[in-house]
Amino acid sequence: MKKLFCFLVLLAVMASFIPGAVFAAEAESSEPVSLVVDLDLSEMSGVIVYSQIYNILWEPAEYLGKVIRMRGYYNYYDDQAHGIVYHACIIPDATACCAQGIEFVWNGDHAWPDDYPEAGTDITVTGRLEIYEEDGSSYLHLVDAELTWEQEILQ
Amino acid sequence: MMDKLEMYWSVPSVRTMIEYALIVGVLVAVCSSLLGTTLVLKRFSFIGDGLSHVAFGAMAVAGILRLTDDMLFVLPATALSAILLLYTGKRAKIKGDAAIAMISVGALAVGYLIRNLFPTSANLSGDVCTTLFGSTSILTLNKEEVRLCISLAAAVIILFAALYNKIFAVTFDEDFARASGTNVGAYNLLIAVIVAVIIVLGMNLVGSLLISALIIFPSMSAMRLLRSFRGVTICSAVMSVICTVAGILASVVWSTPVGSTIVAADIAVFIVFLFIGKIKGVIVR
Repeated sequence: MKKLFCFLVLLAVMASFIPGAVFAAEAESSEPVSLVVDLDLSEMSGVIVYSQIYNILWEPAEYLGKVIRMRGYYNYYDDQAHGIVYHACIIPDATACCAQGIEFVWNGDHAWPDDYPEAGTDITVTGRLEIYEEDGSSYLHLVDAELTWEQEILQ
Repeated sequence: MMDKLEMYWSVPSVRTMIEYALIVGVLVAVCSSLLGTTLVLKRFSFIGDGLSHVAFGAMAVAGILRLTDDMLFVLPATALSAILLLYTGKRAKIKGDAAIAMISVGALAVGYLIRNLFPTSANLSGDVCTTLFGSTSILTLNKEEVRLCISLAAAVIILFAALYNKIFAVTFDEDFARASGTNVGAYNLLIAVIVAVIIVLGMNLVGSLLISALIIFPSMSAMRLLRSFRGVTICSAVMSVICTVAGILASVVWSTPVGSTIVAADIAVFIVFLFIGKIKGVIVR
């Protein structure tokens, strides 16, 4: 028994020194704003989140000003004509043929692409839903957003 | 599972979403199973598939016409096709399965072609997928759509209950019904219109590719155990409702496609009933 315990301890110590061992760590925004979440979708199934986001986008009036937390994957759109990069949290539907997403504005000073996760990374976003006008059209986005994701740290 | 459902129920907007889905799901399940028995016995099991493809094509045309409510076009177009298939019946030059097959694949092909030539959104494959498989549309219903569904379902159930004896007669023996003074043509016309309404309603629930399952499976399951028309109709309605509710809740909890989950539940019940029927048959013998 003692030998087995020593072997396991030795194994654990060796593992911690293996070059390139991958550990998960939480990456967080540098200046988190304490938001009180009104609608937490982060623990809900993909079907519910997708449908809820669909409903928010179609009938935003009753959700405006509310703090929404959602989990999805990160993607961006680099609008080079206007020099703006839009960031979004995307959720696919159960059949994986459609996807809905909400644009977010990460709170604090963050440089793109260095501070942002890779496109396709699973992220959790918490932010206040607001509407804004651009080129005569209305768009929704989450402002003052907190962004977290699982980050791979090479040791 | 219950913990997750309780959590969803505690969020008002999510609760409303699930409530709407359950209301519409139960109503569509009842309506489709009521008429399912008649269609299976009249050898028109595949008509649901054909008509749902017509509805798919009609939705594509409604998209081009930029109708605010595509139901205004989809419902009449589907009803017209149902009348062509069911009402003309034996007098038609192209009969039964051939007519259904032609309308089915023709409408699907033309519908997809129109959607490609005149796309109404940037996500064409997403739109097509949603229409064919239902995707999550049952969870994205608004109050008006639920009200419309309740009205149409109530009309179908009341008509079926009021005309039960006539539908029964037309289902089993058209010639006898005609000889006994029943206006067979009018009742076939009515059945055709009701089927079209059910198809259009059911497309929200399971999508156009899977709507036939809602019509066929509950009736076929009930027929494994029961012999009377009334018994099969009631049993299929009850089983259809149970499968639909179970399917919606399972889909919500485990994040599976709603339509496919409901149909999977229908298939499971059919297999169970098939075994029970076999055992029952052995015991009776």
